Amino acid sequence: MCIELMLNATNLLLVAFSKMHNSIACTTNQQSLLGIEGQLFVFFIMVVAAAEVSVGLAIIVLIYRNTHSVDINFLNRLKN
Amino acid sequence: MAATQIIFWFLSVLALVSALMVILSKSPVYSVLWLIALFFAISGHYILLNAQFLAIVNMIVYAGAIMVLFLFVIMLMNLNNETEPQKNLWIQLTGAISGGCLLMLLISLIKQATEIHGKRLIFENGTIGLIENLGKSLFNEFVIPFEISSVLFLSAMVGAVVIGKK
Repeated sequence: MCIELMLNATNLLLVAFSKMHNSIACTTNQQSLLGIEGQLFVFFIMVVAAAEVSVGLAIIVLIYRNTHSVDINFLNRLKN
Repeated sequence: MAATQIIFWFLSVLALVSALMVILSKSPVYSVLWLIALFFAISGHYILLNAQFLAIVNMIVYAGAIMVLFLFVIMLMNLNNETEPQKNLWIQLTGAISGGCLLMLLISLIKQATEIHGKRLIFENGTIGLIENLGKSLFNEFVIPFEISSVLFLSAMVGAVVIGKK
Protein backbone atom coordinates (compact mmCIF):
# COMPACT_ATOMS: atom_id res chain seq x y z
CA MET A 1 0.00 0.00 0.00
CA CYS A 2 2.90 2.34 0.63
CA ILE A 3 3.99 1.75 -2.96
CA GLU A 4 0.58 3.00 -4.08
CA LEU A 5 1.06 6.04 -1.84
CA MET A 6 4.42 6.84 -3.45
CA LEU A 7 3.10 6.31 -6.97
CA ASN A 8 0.24 8.70 -6.26
CA ALA A 9 2.62 11.33 -4.94
CA THR A 10 4.60 11.06 -8.17
CA ASN A 11 1.42 11.32 -10.21
CA LEU A 12 0.31 14.47 -8.41
CA LEU A 13 3.74 16.03 -8.91
CA LEU A 14 3.74 15.21 -12.64
CA VAL A 15 0.26 16.66 -13.15
CA ALA A 16 1.18 19.83 -11.23
CA PHE A 17 4.36 20.40 -13.24
CA SER A 18 2.60 19.65 -16.53
CA LYS A 19 -0.04 22.22 -15.58
CA MET A 20 2.64 24.75 -14.64
CA HIS A 21 4.40 24.19 -17.95
CA ASN A 22 1.09 24.60 -19.74
CA SER A 23 -0.03 27.78 -17.97
CA ILE A 24 3.02 29.66 -19.23
CA ALA A 25 2.23 28.66 -22.81
CA CYS A 26 -1.44 29.48 -22.35
CA THR A 27 -0.74 33.16 -21.79
CA THR A 28 0.16 33.50 -25.48
CA ASN A 29 -1.85 30.69 -27.05
CA GLN A 30 -5.05 29.59 -25.35
CA GLN A 31 -5.21 26.21 -27.17
CA SER A 32 -1.62 25.25 -26.48
CA LEU A 33 -0.94 21.56 -25.87
CA LEU A 34 2.45 22.03 -24.26
CA GLY A 35 2.96 19.78 -21.28
CA ILE A 36 0.47 17.10 -22.30
CA GLU A 37 3.24 14.48 -21.99
CA GLY A 38 3.10 14.78 -18.22
CA GLN A 39 -0.53 13.72 -18.09
CA LEU A 40 0.06 10.82 -20.48
CA PHE A 41 2.97 9.72 -18.33
CA VAL A 42 0.65 9.65 -15.33
CA PHE A 43 -1.71 7.47 -17.36
CA PHE A 44 1.08 4.97 -18.08
CA ILE A 45 2.12 4.99 -14.41
CA MET A 46 -1.43 3.98 -13.51
CA VAL A 47 -1.30 1.14 -16.06
CA VAL A 48 1.97 -0.19 -14.65
CA ALA A 49 0.65 0.13 -11.08
CA ALA A 50 -2.44 -1.92 -11.90
CA ALA A 51 -0.34 -4.69 -13.49
CA GLU A 52 2.11 -4.66 -10.58
CA VAL A 53 -0.63 -4.87 -7.96
CA SER A 54 -2.29 -7.88 -9.57
CA VAL A 55 0.94 -9.89 -9.71
CA GLY A 56 2.10 -8.74 -6.26
CA LEU A 57 -1.14 -9.70 -4.54
CA ALA A 58 -1.08 -13.10 -6.23
CA ILE A 59 2.44 -13.66 -4.84
CA ILE A 60 1.31 -12.57 -1.36
CA VAL A 61 -1.62 -15.00 -1.44
CA LEU A 62 0.77 -17.77 -2.50
CA ILE A 63 3.15 -16.95 0.39
CA TYR A 64 0.24 -16.95 2.82
CA ARG A 65 -0.97 -20.29 1.54
CA ASN A 66 2.46 -21.86 2.04
CA THR A 67 3.46 -20.39 5.39
CA HIS A 68 0.17 -19.15 6.96
CA SER A 69 1.79 -15.77 7.54
CA VAL A 70 2.82 -12.79 5.44
CA ASP A 71 6.13 -12.37 7.23
CA ILE A 72 8.77 -12.64 4.53
CA ASN A 73 11.46 -13.57 7.06
CA PHE A 74 10.15 -17.14 6.92
CA LEU A 75 11.19 -17.26 3.28
CA ASN A 76 14.89 -16.66 3.83
CA ARG A 77 15.98 -19.98 2.43
CA LEU A 78 14.53 -20.08 -1.12
CA LYS A 79 14.80 -23.89 -0.94
CA ASN A 80 12.12 -25.94 0.86
CA MET B 1 -10.01 33.85 0.19
CA ALA B 2 -11.36 32.56 -3.10
CA ALA B 3 -13.36 29.37 -3.36
CA THR B 4 -10.62 27.47 -5.21
CA GLN B 5 -8.16 28.35 -2.48
CA ILE B 6 -10.45 27.03 0.24
CA ILE B 7 -11.01 23.80 -1.71
CA PHE B 8 -7.27 23.47 -2.30
CA TRP B 9 -6.40 23.78 1.40
CA PHE B 10 -9.21 21.43 2.41
CA LEU B 11 -8.09 18.78 -0.09
CA SER B 12 -4.44 19.16 0.92
CA VAL B 13 -5.20 18.71 4.60
CA LEU B 14 -7.44 15.73 3.83
CA ALA B 15 -4.72 14.14 1.67
CA LEU B 16 -1.98 14.63 4.26
CA VAL B 17 -4.09 13.37 7.18
CA SER B 18 -5.28 10.30 5.32
CA ALA B 19 -1.77 9.53 4.04
CA LEU B 20 -0.49 9.65 7.62
CA MET B 21 -3.34 7.45 8.80
CA VAL B 22 -2.53 4.88 6.07
CA ILE B 23 0.91 4.44 7.59
CA LEU B 24 -0.04 4.75 11.25
CA SER B 25 -3.18 2.65 11.55
CA LYS B 26 -2.71 -0.78 13.11
CA SER B 27 -5.30 -2.70 11.15
CA PRO B 28 -4.67 -3.17 7.41
CA VAL B 29 -8.39 -2.83 6.64
CA TYR B 30 -8.51 0.68 8.15
CA SER B 31 -5.34 1.43 6.23
CA VAL B 32 -7.03 0.53 2.94
CA LEU B 33 -10.09 2.64 3.80
CA TRP B 34 -7.89 5.68 4.52
CA LEU B 35 -6.11 5.04 1.23
CA ILE B 36 -9.47 5.29 -0.57
CA ALA B 37 -10.05 8.67 1.13
CA LEU B 38 -6.60 9.72 -0.09
CA PHE B 39 -7.46 8.76 -3.66
CA PHE B 40 -10.60 10.88 -3.55
CA ALA B 41 -8.59 13.86 -2.27
CA ILE B 42 -6.04 13.41 -5.05
CA SER B 43 -8.83 13.18 -7.62
CA GLY B 44 -10.11 16.52 -6.33
CA HIS B 45 -6.64 17.96 -6.83
CA TYR B 46 -6.61 16.68 -10.42
CA ILE B 47 -9.94 18.40 -11.08
CA LEU B 48 -8.53 21.64 -9.64
CA LEU B 49 -5.54 21.29 -11.97
CA ASN B 50 -7.83 20.89 -15.01
CA ALA B 51 -6.96 17.21 -15.49
CA GLN B 52 -10.52 15.91 -15.62
CA PHE B 53 -9.76 12.68 -17.47
CA LEU B 54 -7.05 11.69 -15.01
CA ALA B 55 -9.36 12.47 -12.09
CA ILE B 56 -12.02 10.09 -13.40
CA VAL B 57 -9.46 7.40 -14.28
CA ASN B 58 -7.88 7.73 -10.84
CA MET B 59 -11.25 7.25 -9.19
CA ILE B 60 -12.29 4.29 -11.35
CA VAL B 61 -9.00 2.42 -11.54
CA TYR B 62 -7.50 3.10 -8.11
CA ALA B 63 -10.45 3.60 -5.78
CA GLY B 64 -12.66 1.21 -7.72
CA ALA B 65 -10.50 -1.67 -8.86
CA ILE B 66 -7.13 -1.78 -7.10
CA MET B 67 -8.48 -1.00 -3.64
CA VAL B 68 -11.21 -3.63 -3.91
CA LEU B 69 -8.50 -6.14 -4.83
CA PHE B 70 -6.48 -5.08 -1.78
CA LEU B 71 -9.51 -5.33 0.49
CA PHE B 72 -10.37 -8.81 -0.81
CA VAL B 73 -6.84 -10.12 -0.27
CA ILE B 74 -6.57 -8.64 3.24
CA MET B 75 -9.93 -10.02 4.28
CA LEU B 76 -9.03 -13.40 2.76
CA MET B 77 -5.91 -13.64 4.90
CA ASN B 78 -7.54 -12.73 8.23
CA LEU B 79 -4.51 -11.00 9.73
CA ASN B 80 -4.42 -9.76 13.31
CA ASN B 81 -1.89 -8.57 15.84
CA GLU B 82 -1.55 -11.85 17.74
CA THR B 83 -0.44 -14.06 14.89
CA GLU B 84 1.75 -11.54 13.10
CA PRO B 85 5.20 -10.83 14.52
CA GLN B 86 5.71 -7.12 15.18
CA LYS B 87 8.77 -5.15 14.18
CA ASN B 88 10.88 -4.07 17.14
CA LEU B 89 11.25 -0.45 18.22
CA TRP B 90 14.76 0.12 16.92
CA ILE B 91 13.85 -0.86 13.37
CA GLN B 92 10.91 1.54 13.45
CA LEU B 93 13.11 4.33 14.82
CA THR B 94 15.74 3.74 12.14
CA GLY B 95 13.09 3.83 9.44
CA ALA B 96 11.64 7.08 10.78
CA ILE B 97 15.06 8.75 10.91
CA SER B 98 16.06 7.70 7.39
CA GLY B 99 12.67 8.73 5.99
CA GLY B 100 13.01 12.09 7.73
CA CYS B 101 16.45 12.59 6.16
CA LEU B 102 14.96 11.96 2.72
CA LEU B 103 12.15 14.45 3.46
CA MET B 104 14.65 17.14 4.51
CA LEU B 105 16.67 16.51 1.34
CA LEU B 106 13.62 16.87 -0.89
CA ILE B 107 12.44 20.04 0.86
CA SER B 108 15.86 21.66 0.51
CA LEU B 109 16.01 20.68 -3.16
CA ILE B 110 12.61 22.27 -3.83
CA LYS B 111 13.71 25.43 -2.02
CA GLN B 112 16.84 25.64 -4.15
CA ALA B 113 15.21 24.92 -7.51
CA THR B 114 15.38 28.17 -9.46
CA GLU B 115 13.23 26.83 -12.30
CA ILE B 116 10.02 27.07 -10.32
CA HIS B 117 10.64 30.37 -8.54
CA GLY B 118 8.13 33.02 -9.48
CA LYS B 119 6.10 30.68 -11.68
CA ARG B 120 2.40 30.43 -11.00
CA LEU B 121 -0.34 27.95 -11.71
CA ILE B 122 -3.34 29.47 -13.45
CA PHE B 123 -6.28 27.27 -12.61
CA GLU B 124 -8.96 28.33 -15.04
CA ASN B 125 -7.35 28.07 -18.46
CA GLY B 126 -5.80 25.27 -20.49
CA THR B 127 -7.34 22.39 -22.42
CA ILE B 128 -4.73 19.65 -22.05
CA GLY B 129 -6.75 17.71 -19.50
CA LEU B 130 -9.68 17.17 -21.83
CA ILE B 131 -10.20 13.66 -23.14
CA GLU B 132 -10.21 14.89 -26.77
CA ASN B 133 -6.70 16.31 -26.65
CA LEU B 134 -5.33 13.49 -24.50
CA GLY B 135 -6.78 10.86 -26.84
CA LYS B 136 -5.38 12.53 -29.95
CA SER B 137 -1.95 12.75 -28.40
CA LEU B 138 -2.14 9.19 -27.03
CA PHE B 139 -2.99 7.63 -30.38
CA ASN B 140 -0.62 9.75 -32.47
CA GLU B 141 2.72 10.19 -30.71
CA PHE B 142 2.35 7.64 -27.92
CA VAL B 143 0.75 4.76 -29.78
CA ILE B 144 3.73 2.39 -29.40
CA PRO B 145 3.94 2.70 -25.58
CA PHE B 146 0.18 2.27 -25.50
CA GLU B 147 0.36 -1.03 -27.36
CA ILE B 148 3.31 -2.19 -25.26
CA SER B 149 1.28 -1.49 -22.12
CA SER B 150 -1.46 -3.76 -23.45
CA VAL B 151 1.10 -6.57 -23.78
CA LEU B 152 2.23 -5.77 -20.22
CA PHE B 153 -1.34 -6.13 -19.01
CA LEU B 154 -1.69 -9.46 -20.79
CA SER B 155 1.51 -10.80 -19.24
CA ALA B 156 0.43 -9.56 -15.79
CA MET B 157 -2.90 -11.33 -16.17
CA VAL B 158 -1.28 -14.58 -17.29
CA GLY B 159 1.25 -14.32 -14.45
CA ALA B 160 -1.43 -13.77 -11.82
CA VAL B 161 -3.44 -16.74 -13.07
CA VAL B 162 -0.38 -19.02 -13.20
CA ILE B 163 0.73 -18.03 -9.68
CA GLY B 164 -2.79 -18.33 -8.31
CA LYS B 165 -3.39 -21.80 -9.78
CA LYS B 166 -0.44 -23.44 -8.03
